[in-house]
Formats: sequence, C-alpha cells, structure tokens
Amino acid sequence: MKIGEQFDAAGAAAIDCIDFLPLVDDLLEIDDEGWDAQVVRHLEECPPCRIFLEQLQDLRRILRAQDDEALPLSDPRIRTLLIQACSTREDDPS
Amino acid sequence: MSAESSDDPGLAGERLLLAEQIASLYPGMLRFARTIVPSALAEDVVQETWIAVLKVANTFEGRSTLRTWIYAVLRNKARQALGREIRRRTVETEEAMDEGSPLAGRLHPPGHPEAGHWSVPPSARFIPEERAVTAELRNKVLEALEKLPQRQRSVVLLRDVEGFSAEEVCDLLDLDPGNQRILLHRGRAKLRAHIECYQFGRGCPDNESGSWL
Repeated sequence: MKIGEQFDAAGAAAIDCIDFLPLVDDLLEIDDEGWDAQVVRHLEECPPCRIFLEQLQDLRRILRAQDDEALPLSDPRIRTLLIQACSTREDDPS
Repeated sequence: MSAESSDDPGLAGERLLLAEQIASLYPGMLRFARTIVPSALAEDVVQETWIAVLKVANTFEGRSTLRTWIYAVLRNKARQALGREIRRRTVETEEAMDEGSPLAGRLHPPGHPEAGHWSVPPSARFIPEERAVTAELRNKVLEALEKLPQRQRSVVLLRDVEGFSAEEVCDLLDLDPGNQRILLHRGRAKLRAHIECYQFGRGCPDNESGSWL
C-alpha cells in the first residue's frame, strides 16, 4: 500500500488497512460493483488486504461446499416421518 | 422413492415432495441442533421437530420462508431438550468472554512509520483460482467450526453454511443485529486464522495449543 496520498480526486480521505479490515464482512455480502470507491481504491493499492478478502471469500466457499449432502430418500428416518405424516393426515377430521 | 407407495398419484407426488424436503433439510438441521444440544440428543431433536412440523404445517402463515420457520421450531425443540431457556446474551458479555483478536500484532502499531498497515501480511488465498475445494481442507474447516464458541459457531453455521440472511439469524438466535455482526466477524476471523496457520504456517498463535480455537 502506498502511503502518503491521503485524498482521492474527489477529495475523499483514503482509507488504510485498519480502516479496511472491519469492512470486510460487509463486502462479502455485496457484489463488488456496489463497493465504495475508497474500498476499491484501497484494494487496488494494497495486495495484502486483497488477499485477506480473498481468504475470507475462500473460507465461505469452503463452508458452503459442506451443504451439498441430502439424505437418500430411502433413509429410514424419512420413512418414519412419512408414516407419521400419513397418520397425522388420517387423524385430521378436515 | 421406496417409502409408502400409494394408488393415488397426487398423494404419492405429495409424499415424494415431502420426502425430498426432509432429505435436503435434515443434514443442516442436525448441524444446527448440535450447536444447541449435545450430539447424542441432536438426532432426537430433529426427529421431534419434523413430527411437530408435520402436525402443525397448516398453521404456517408464510410470514417467513418455510425453512426459517422449520429452523425456529427446531430451535425451540432443542432448547426444550436442553432443559432450560437459553438467555439472550449481550454484546458486552460476548466481548468479555472473547480472547484476543487473531490479527493482533499483524499490523504496525501507532507511532510506527507505517502505522495502519500490515506488518505480517496474509500470504496467499486458500484456494487458488479455478481449483476445487479439497476434501482435506473442507474437513479441516469443519473441524475448526466445531471448536468455535457456541454462539459464534451457530452464527457462522447459519450464515455461511446454511445461507440464512442476517435478519433470519437474528430472529432464530434472538440476537440484535450488532451482536450478530460481531459474532460472525469473530467466528470467521478465527476460522481464517486457523486455516492460514494450518496451510501456510503464518499467523499462528503463541500458545500451547498452537490454535486460535
């Protein structure tokens, strides 16, 4: 990260790494087209913060990859619940 | 589908849909239940939840998604099974319980010529571009997730594994938005630091366990 250029062309104060790090969780939630210009500029100038953000994006990708397993439809737990659902339906006078 | 054949094609289709719904939600529900009750109780809690859901499904008013509603029933069942109501915790309590940040010492301190910037920067991303997630890395992250403090684990699980929104997680866990945000930030920070230490040997804690968890 270059140090010294404190303001951008629009006069907004440049952010440093300490300013950037608390914003990372929010950045994960929005498309990069919606990121603030100061954030984009900081990421262009600061490879370590870019890597930090990418590590968190990777972490979330790894965590999301867990959610790919459904029970087989033949699982006895499903059968038990379907039987329960049928008996509930039969008990329902409506 | 092998369970419960029916002569009525409409009914059979309904059962198939129900079976598919149960099959897809069951693993995530088990993971969430384990954040509230001991693993040995979690399976029973999920079964009880489904039985309750099937009994009262006609009372679902559509004010939330069906999945959020089912998870709310699961939360209540898990708390009942635990034998006590989990009290809402304040931000202050969480802060008091939390130990040092994994980023402590990684940025130059005030007064340093490069204050505000990295002194020990992160080395590389965890998954190089266009690579698949390896089973080894996935298992390592899962193990780490299991070791997070309970509230952080619940929030990270619901947000990053199950994909619930911040608002839904606040409702499910009785959290205010600020506390949800802090718990998510801290949970992710510890997982990131743990994986960075495991993968690159960088940013490892200076403690006996050698782990942030």
